[in-house]
Amino acid sequence: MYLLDSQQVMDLFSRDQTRQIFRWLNTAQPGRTEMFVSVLSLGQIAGAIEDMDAVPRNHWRRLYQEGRRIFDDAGGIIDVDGAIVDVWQANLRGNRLSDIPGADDQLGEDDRLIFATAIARGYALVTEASPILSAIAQRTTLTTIEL
Amino acid sequence: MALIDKPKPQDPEAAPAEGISLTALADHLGPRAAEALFSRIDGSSRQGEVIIGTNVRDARIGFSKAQTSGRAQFVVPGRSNLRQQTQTQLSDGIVIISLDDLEAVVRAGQEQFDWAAAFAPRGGLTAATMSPQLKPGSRGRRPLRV
Repeated sequence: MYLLDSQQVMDLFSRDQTRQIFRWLNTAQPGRTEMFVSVLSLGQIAGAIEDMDAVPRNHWRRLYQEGRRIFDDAGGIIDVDGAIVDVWQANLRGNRLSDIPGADDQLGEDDRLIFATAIARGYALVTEASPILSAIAQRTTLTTIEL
Repeated sequence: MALIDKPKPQDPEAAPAEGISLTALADHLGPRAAEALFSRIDGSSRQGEVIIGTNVRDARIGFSKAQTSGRAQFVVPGRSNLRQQTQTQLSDGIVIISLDDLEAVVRAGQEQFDWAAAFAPRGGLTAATMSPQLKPGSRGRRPLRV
């Protein structure tokens, strides 16, 4: 089972088949019920789209709506639940990552909840290589697939 | 006067086996899962595309065999040793199957889905040439009183 990180969701929604996520999909070939996104990733992407200029924004709104519908139909959108919050508060919230260089500056609580989602569900987080995520993986049960 | 052929006596060896057909199995499980399960039923219980269900007494003997991969037992309760005397009811059947085999059947039954194809550009929805910039969420700290 896989949880796509926000950037990978956006790359998928772009439908630009030259992006790394499509190469990974062709290799891993996850089943319809094996790939998930956090509702928080969808929120992050929706927010970023609204900051775009009008023409690309309209295009991206359609890309987003179609992409969200595909995941919705597959039952692949994960809400934040109690188990996720338990992992988040115990391992990732607030100053719990302050000893990892860059974590406090770069990771919002929404990012941390996305990581907590992967940990709580036991899904591999499909993401890009990051020393911060490597450090988190060392201290939690997080597993990552780096593209 | 027309000659009418007398019905020929059927060769018992050539008669269609009474049991659970692959087609009937597919009606319950879908074709891919049915084929996956069928192929994992112990070979001695299969004749062509038909499973000759095992009765409960025989299944006890075959229980250890069913633990081996590809030797699943299809048991039909309420069936005597004289197989031709009772009708096979697929919906009453019980399958003794190893977990590895069960996993293979379940996986085979899953709908094929190509994520890359689902997100391929299409008429009216072209690929994006640029992407929005993800921004880090706020890290504000609201103090809570204890």
